Amino acid sequence: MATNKIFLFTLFAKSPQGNKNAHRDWSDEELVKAITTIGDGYVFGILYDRYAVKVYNKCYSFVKDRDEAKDLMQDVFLRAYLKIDTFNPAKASFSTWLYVVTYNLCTNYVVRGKIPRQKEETGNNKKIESIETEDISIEDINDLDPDKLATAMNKIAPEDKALLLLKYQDDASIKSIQELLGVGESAVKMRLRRAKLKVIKTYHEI
Amino acid sequence: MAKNIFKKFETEKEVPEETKKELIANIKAIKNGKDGSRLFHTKFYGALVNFFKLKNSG
Repeated sequence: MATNKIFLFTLFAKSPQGNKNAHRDWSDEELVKAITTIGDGYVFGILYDRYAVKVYNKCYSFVKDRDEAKDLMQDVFLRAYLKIDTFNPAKASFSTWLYVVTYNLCTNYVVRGKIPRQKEETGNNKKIESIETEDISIEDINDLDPDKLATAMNKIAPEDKALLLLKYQDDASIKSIQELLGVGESAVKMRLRRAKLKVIKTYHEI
Repeated sequence: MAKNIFKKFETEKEVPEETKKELIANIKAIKNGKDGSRLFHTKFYGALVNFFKLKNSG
């Protein structure tokens, strides 16, 4: 079915009379197939229209500067275009894949030192290790103050922030996270547990 | 049940308008570069291979 649509698209794309809006209601996966087949910038623009606001705001949440967020977003979409043939719909949805690309670039940007990173107290880590068998449910976190939690999120390591956002803001499944990060299920769960503990600890210290 | 707190601090800032134009221009440049290198590898590379094959057999 998708192959037929791609064929039709390539046919219409060559014709000035072709209906260029027909594929606006295609699924992300169908658009990706069209892009990998003909490498068309116009079709990629449709994906951009769908995700630009989300990606821009994610970048902004890491850099807190509109110009830097704009540059980062450009990098995210260019990277996505260049790596689009690595997207596998069997592993994760396109949105999850794109958000992982976004978080990787944002995290690297912060870690490379372009944005001053808040120092984590080493003493905290020891305490966290000792209680890492405990888990905090999302229901417990939902009862916290959102503004204070947002502040705490900006104080923890960007990798932890990215993981929490991916799981709880973007609703990525554990399975898709493990596929995209290339780690096992238990490793993802442990990283999530540690990230939750860190953010809660930071929250209570504010 | 309380709404997922992580969604409460998701911002909705507007994307700068010029970004899409710049992106599409960059993608066009990349695509042209790719097409150029593909042309080189298939046509010119193939022609070179044929040339040397002919030269060796001749």
